[in-house]
Amino acid sequence: MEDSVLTGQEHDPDFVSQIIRYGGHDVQTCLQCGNCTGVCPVSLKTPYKTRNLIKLCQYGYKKIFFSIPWICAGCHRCYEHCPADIDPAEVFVAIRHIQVRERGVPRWIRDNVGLILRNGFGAVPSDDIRRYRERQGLEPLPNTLPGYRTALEELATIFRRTGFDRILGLEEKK
Amino acid sequence: MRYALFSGCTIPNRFPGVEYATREILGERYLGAELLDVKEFTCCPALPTFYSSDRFTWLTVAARNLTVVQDLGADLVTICNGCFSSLLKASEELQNVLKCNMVNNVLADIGRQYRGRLVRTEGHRNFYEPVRVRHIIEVLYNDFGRKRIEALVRNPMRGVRAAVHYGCHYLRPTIRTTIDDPANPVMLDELVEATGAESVRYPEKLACCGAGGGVRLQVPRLANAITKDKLDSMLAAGAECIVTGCPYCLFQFDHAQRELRISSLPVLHISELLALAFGIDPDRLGFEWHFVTVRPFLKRLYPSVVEG
Repeated sequence: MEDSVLTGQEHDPDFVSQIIRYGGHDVQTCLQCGNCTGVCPVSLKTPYKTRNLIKLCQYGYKKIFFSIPWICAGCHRCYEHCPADIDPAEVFVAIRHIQVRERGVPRWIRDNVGLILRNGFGAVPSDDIRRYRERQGLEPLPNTLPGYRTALEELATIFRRTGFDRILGLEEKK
Repeated sequence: MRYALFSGCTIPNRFPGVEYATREILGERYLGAELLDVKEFTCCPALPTFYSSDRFTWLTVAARNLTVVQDLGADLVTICNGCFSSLLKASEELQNVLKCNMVNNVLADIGRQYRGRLVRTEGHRNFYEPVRVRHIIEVLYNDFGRKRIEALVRNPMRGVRAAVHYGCHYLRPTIRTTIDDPANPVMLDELVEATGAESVRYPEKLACCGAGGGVRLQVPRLANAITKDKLDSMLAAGAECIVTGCPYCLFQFDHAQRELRISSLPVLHISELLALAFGIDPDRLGFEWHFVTVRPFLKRLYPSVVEG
């Protein structure tokens, strides 16, 4: 990323206000000190440096973010070290909001939400684990109980009301 | 003390032994707390999925979980950093009246309303406080304390060198979570030391395990590279096992060690470590679902109990 030359063509002057609208901080206050990059586990291992990414936000290079994978681990160490009180992890959350709305949602999210709609949780137990739970006298998992259907219906209603199924493109599938 | 246990998705479905251990140590045989079983919970919801794609849906689903416990008169106890951070964040955001009203507007459709927990009534007025969301480490440390835990230890872990991993969402971001010092946390270390084990100092202690935010799902090689740094640092400090409070970190350390083949440190949840120290039969703790075998570690600790 550091080697590529940026041209003014991909510049989007609304990018910063869009980030703020989706709950990110005002990235214009970034001082470019680089504290965030020094503590970021992902910056350490990849060419994507937090400080550079925030600079790209300030310049409005929105398109570049669509080609960067969603790899912020959300550990918030950057926030702990930021003298300008920006939380870069929250900025990346806002950028993901924009990406989901403009470029569609990553498949793993749609699969995960599908699983949650069917089971209430993003994981299902194997038969072995189910047997172990019975043997140890653990509570049966809620999603194996007949009454749990109400909870699932409530989830589906929430998704419909907040427009989440439209954002994820779940409704087209039915 | 009454607690509503929120066990989440990873622990009951992947590491059921942790749930068993938590129920045992908190239950009447050991610490004597009352655990309420709530069966209407759904996903907390997970931050990488919901929080990243639509904040409002995230807040509404989390508020729904909080409405389930608000009338029980109990604190919500999580045994996972993900659930802890998601629900705590939600409980704090719901103190904003505007957001709370927007959420309640949606919740009205399913016959629920988030008010918080009733603290007292004066005449016709009811006073509410936000639902308290807590983490098992902090509950063990603050509500029971090191002394009571020390008194319950039957199998002291003398000579065991443990690398403590708090996990990011237990400590950060500090604008919301200040249960422990984010720069120099002590609670988990003290719990580990209460069992007689030694908590080793290593430079990467506060670093991320590598799995968070969906990194594990999308770029597993990057996740493992981050974990490797952490493991190297633990090995250099002479650690024999890893103790954490988060099942997803546990999962990552376990998986990464099998894939990287650089070490085989057993990874334990704090509940499992305490269960072992309290003398609960290791064969009942479901260690068969850990990817890195815990057997040699157990065998060294309890030569008479563990066979094979």
